This record gives sequence, C-alpha cells and structure tokens, in this order.
Amino acid sequence: MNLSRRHFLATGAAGVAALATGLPARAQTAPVFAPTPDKWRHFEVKTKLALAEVKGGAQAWIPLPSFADEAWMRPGETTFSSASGKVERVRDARSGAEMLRVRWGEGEASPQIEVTSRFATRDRKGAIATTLSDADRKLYTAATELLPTDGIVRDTALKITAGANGDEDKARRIFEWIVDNTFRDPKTRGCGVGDIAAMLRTGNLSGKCADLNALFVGLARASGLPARDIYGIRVAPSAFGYKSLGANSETVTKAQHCRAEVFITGAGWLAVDPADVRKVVLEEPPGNLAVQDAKVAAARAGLFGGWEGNWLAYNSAHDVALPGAKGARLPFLMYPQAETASGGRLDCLDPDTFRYSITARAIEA
Amino acid sequence: MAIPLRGRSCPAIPPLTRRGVLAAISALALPAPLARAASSPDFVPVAVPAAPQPLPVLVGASTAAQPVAGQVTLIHFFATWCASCQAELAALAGLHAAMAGRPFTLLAVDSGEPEARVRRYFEHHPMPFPVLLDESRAAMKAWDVITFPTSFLVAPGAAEALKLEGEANWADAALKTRIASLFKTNTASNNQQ
Repeated sequence: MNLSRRHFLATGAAGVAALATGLPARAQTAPVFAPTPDKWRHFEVKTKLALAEVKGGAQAWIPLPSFADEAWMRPGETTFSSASGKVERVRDARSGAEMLRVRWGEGEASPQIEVTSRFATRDRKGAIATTLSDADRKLYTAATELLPTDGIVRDTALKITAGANGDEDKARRIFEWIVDNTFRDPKTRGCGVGDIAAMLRTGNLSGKCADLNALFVGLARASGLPARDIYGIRVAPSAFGYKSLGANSETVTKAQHCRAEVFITGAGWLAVDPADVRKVVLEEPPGNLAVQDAKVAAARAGLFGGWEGNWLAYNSAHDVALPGAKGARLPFLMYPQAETASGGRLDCLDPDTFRYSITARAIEA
Repeated sequence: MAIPLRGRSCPAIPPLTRRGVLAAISALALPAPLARAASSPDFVPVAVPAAPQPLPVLVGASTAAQPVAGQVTLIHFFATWCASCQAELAALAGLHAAMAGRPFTLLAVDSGEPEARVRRYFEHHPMPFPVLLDESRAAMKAWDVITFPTSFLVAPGAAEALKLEGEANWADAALKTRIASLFKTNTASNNQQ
C-alpha cells in the first residue's frame, strides 16, 4: 500500500495494523468487513481539466459533492482556479445534482481549470431513520430512461420478491439475487451504462457498478421499494484490508463507483452495494474467488445495510441534461464532461485524451 | 472470467457471455434470452419504425436511420467498444464495395457513445459508408435494438425489415443471395409501376 501520512491517519486502527504487519488487516484470521458509523473522515478531491486541441470554444461540467445526509455525507466547500473561462455553479433541478459549468470562448485553445472540493463522510451500518415524503416516494419509485419498472423488469422483480415478508425481506432477496446471478465484467468500459432491461432481455447480467447496482435499483423500484443509485468516487483504501474496495493511491481518475440505497418503510434508507460483492469475487487477491470464500461472505454480509466511508457521493441523478449542453442527456453524472465546438461531446471514459485527472487525499477536520 | 458466446455479439452494453445467459436461464425461470443463430443468419421480420429524427453523421449531412427510397438499405447498429462489431465493420466495407453500382445503401449507426470517441475510432479505421451518431440512443430505441451488432435489411418500399441480431458473415454467398433477392423485389416493384 502506498499511503500518505494523511491517509495513514484516516484509516484508523485497522489501517495501522495493516501497515505494521505489511499485510491486509486481520489477514491471519477470519476476514472482517464491518463498517461502523463512528468517526467522520474528511477528504479533499481535486479535479484538473486541461482540454486538448480545442477550436471554436468549449464548455465543461465537473460534478460536485452534492448529496447530503447528516448521518453520513456532508458536502463541503468547493473552490476553483482557472486562468480563463466563465465559471458558474449549476444544479440539475430534478435531482439537485450540482456541477461547475465552465465556458471558454473561441480564442481559448487550451482551456484549463482545477476544481477542489471538500467533504466529510463516515461508515454506514443499518437503516438511517427518516421518513419519505409522497413526492420523494414517487421520485424514487419512478422509471428512468434506462431503468424501466414495467415489462421484464417488473416480471423479474415480482418473481424474486414473491412471498417476501416486508420491505427489508424484499430488498434482501433482490440483493442476494444480484450477487448470485450477475458478475463483474472487467472489460466493461467505465462503470457500465445501466441498461437494465437490455441486460434482462439478453440474459447478459454482467457489467460493473452502474449496471449491477442499477439492476438492484430498478428491481427494487419495480417491486414498489423506493431506491436510488448514488454516483461517486472512491477516495481512500479499505480499512478492512480489502484491496478491491478502496482507492489505493491518491490518483483516483478512474476510481468512480456508484452505490445504492433502498428505503425500508418504518426504518429508513438502507445502504447496499451488491456490485462490490461481485468486485470482491473477481478482484480480491488472489482473484476469481468462490462466492463461498470467507472474504466474499464477509463483504456480502456487510454490504447489505452498510458500506465504508472511503467514498465520495456526488449525487443520485438520473437522465441528466447538462445545462447549456448540445449533446445528449446523460444516464448519470459521475465523470467530468465537456463539449467542444469542433468535436462535440468528449469521451469521459478516456481521461488521457479528454485530459482530466482526479486526486483525493484525507485532510484534517 | 467472461466467456464470449461464440464471440458473436455485444448485447446491451458489455459483451454477451455464456455465464450471463446461463444465469438468466437458471434464475427463477426468467424469460429466456433471445436465441441466436449458430451458423446461418437468422433473420426475423419486424416492422419498419416511423421515421426517426435525423442524426449527425461523422462526415456529411445529417441522416435519419431509416430506409432510403428506391434502395436496398442495410441499417447496422454497433458500438466501437464491441469487439465483434469492429471485425464486422471491416466485412461491411467489403460488402459495400461488392454492391457498388447497385441501388444499395449502408447506414452504420453508432449508439450510446460520445462523438469524440466515435470520431477517434474512425480516424484510425476509416470506412467508406456513412456513420450516424446516435448518442442519445433514440434510433436504437426506435428500432428496438438491445444487442450489438444488430442489422436490418430493408427492401425498397417494404413495410417490414429483416432483423439480424449478432454478427453476420457479410461475405457469405447465401447472405449475398439474400440481399440480391431484395434487388429483385426492387426490380419487380419497378416493373409494376
């Protein structure tokens, strides 16, 4: 592991143990994955854009931490540094997702901006007690462009949840079904797209977080449970020694990750991440673990109802129309976006050509 | 480890895998996934959708993903990340050359990808036919495409298209004969006028 001092301080006791031994925490004993909502952790995420070969002007949209929940996620200050361009903070009206929009004029051949955001987060375990307004219940059970709640999605959801005893049992059955029937495909570009009806119709239940967790959300919504994807980025190693479940260097340009929440009536929002269980199966050393492996079992138990606070939640937006954009709506907003007058929408999954980089570090409160 | 299903197609977004298919079949008796031909192309007649909106084209004027009047039209949906699509694009270039001088139009439609990615791909792999940019997937939806590649062959004036999901061998003699039969439809139609 390559931890800075700030990471070192932030990883807590488990991280100290891992560094002291040179081995993942508790590697000698049964694996443990037990997020516990105690200490808040503070981070700074820096996104640098340096667009290449721009002719005729350009604009960019950089997602900002805008998901807030007093129990586990507190967005902080955002600052930026740019030699040129008009910068404004804009918001997706429907979801509340915030982003920094930058517009550069025709004369700017090499637009650049550096955006720094701070936030605090912590582990989750158990439902976060809250109520849901009628409007929010409607929003979080609604279909989106890629998450229909009728047809094959509804048929599948009803089969999975038939005979379930209450909301939590429904949610657990969907979670277990995702873990048992999908798998992570390392060749999927980025985090996947999340076309869940196509996944079910073709029988191709592979992908990454934006596919597998979107499948959870779609199936939950189709069975009447409010649910939402939360799009973000990993910012720190796992304190439980899971190499596959953390950002293992300060460079997190390709560490985007989305998680999910499901609302249990009478209890509140419950954290789930079945996609990360499949990531442990595929990637946790030595790799290609059996589902019965103790490391997988521990993660599987912990990721229904909990997750680690080593991740930034940007937003829970679907079908995002970037303000002022010429290009198509986005299924979700997790990557920096840009358009140039000469070349249209840039490829957000190709940061080296687009030219952006993202770094994250733990900071003092 | 993902095991490509005969290396034939790239459904949804990531490549189709045998394991995914088996999972869907075994899990809770879900609706069976679409069957795919192992050898000869398996065309399914489908209705030609109402005229979709024109799409930007990599080179040239905006064009809708729809049949061209008086032509046998091949509308081919693909994505640059789809490995079997890449091989097939090269084969389609051969078909395009073989059809030179005949009333044949090939429209390749890239769906769900940003323009910069598609442009970059074709800078390195130039093709002789138009590439339509269906970034919003509107044309993909209009044609009910759920897997890449998917192709539609449409005879002149036909209300139905022949849909083929998965990879096809466009150099295959039987397939060329099939396309040629659509020209005959064209001739017959012209003779009747």
